[in-house]
Amino acid sequence: MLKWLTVRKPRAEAPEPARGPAAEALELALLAGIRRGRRADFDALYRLYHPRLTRFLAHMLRQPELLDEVLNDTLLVVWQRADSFDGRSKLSTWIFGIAYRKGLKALSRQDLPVEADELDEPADEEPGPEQRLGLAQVRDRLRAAMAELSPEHRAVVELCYFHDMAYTEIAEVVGCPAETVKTRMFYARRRLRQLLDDLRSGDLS
Amino acid sequence: MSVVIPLDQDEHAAVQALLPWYARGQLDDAEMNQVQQHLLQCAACRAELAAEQPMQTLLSVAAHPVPAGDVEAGLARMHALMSPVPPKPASRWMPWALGLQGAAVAVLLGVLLMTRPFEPAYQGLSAAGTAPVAADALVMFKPGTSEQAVRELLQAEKAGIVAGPTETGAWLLRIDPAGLAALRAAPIVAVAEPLQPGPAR
Repeated sequence: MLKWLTVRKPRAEAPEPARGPAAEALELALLAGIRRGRRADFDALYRLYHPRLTRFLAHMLRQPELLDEVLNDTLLVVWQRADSFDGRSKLSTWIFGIAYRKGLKALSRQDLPVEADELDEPADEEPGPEQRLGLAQVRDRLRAAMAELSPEHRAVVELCYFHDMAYTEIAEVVGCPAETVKTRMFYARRRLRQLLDDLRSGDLS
Repeated sequence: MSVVIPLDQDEHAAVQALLPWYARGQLDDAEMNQVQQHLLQCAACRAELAAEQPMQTLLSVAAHPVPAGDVEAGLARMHALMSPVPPKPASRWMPWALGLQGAAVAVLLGVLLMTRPFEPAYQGLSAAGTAPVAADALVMFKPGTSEQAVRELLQAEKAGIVAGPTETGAWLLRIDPAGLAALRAAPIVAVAEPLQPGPAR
């Protein structure tokens, strides 16, 4: 059996709740309660999804001022239309799909895409090319690279790299054919790969 | 000397597109097998695969920081959306809002009209020839006011709640001029401003 590589994710951010069959069963139980109008169950589901949707929407939208509204609009749909979840996909797929559509809608209402993210975080302690070249510089380049991508492309990158979704699942979330997901990822990845190569060669001018 | 094996370009493209998911174990058995077979003979794809870990690191470390996100504050706002009459109407009152009340009246009404699905069944008395007006007054209660006191006062003055509370704890009401005057005089009311254009009615 060949074993090429498995990606171990650096945990730069707060650990997220465990996922898997048990977590999914819990979420479905909460949804059943929500359908009966149980607010406590909704609150529990809200707390489970708030960190995940915050991360997803922050990277997809890149406009912090839109985040809270889109996030709550998304979960309000879960509260009001829990009955419309038909169980054919995972609950998370359904909820991320709502967030994706709400996010695109919010962006379309904006006149101009604004670069609102401020990079004032202290440098990460992880050694590597980022350190030698200056994290701020790397971030500027990454920001520029991500800004070149459309929200649709960024969503695919985010869902694959940080939400452990297979391409078939991402296709359900964004409502497009699986081949389109692969194409978007290929394009986005090529752009990021270019940045990596520049990092390696120290060319960050 | 290396042996050049002609590669199927279609397969090469197909496999390359699958690499991010291959690296995360997110493919089915047939696809896993297809990728592995291709990797054996394709140095370019092996190099792409080797870039997955650095790519993940780059995205994790160098991506612009995600705001931590206040879950409970978000949930509180959500509760306001879920229920037009929450139990503690005045709990989010902020003193500074008093000084901004003039501007806030216009802004809050604008925001609410845009974001809330009103049924514009009610036409304000002085709104002839203009857009339908859904609320007559903006009211804020003093901090610590009980839900019961609010309810009794609103019932006594025949006020209907159109929307609220807003972020600043403001409520939009349908109420007649006499009722609004009575609200202004009530000890539990911090602000009661008419929303109709023209002189105070």
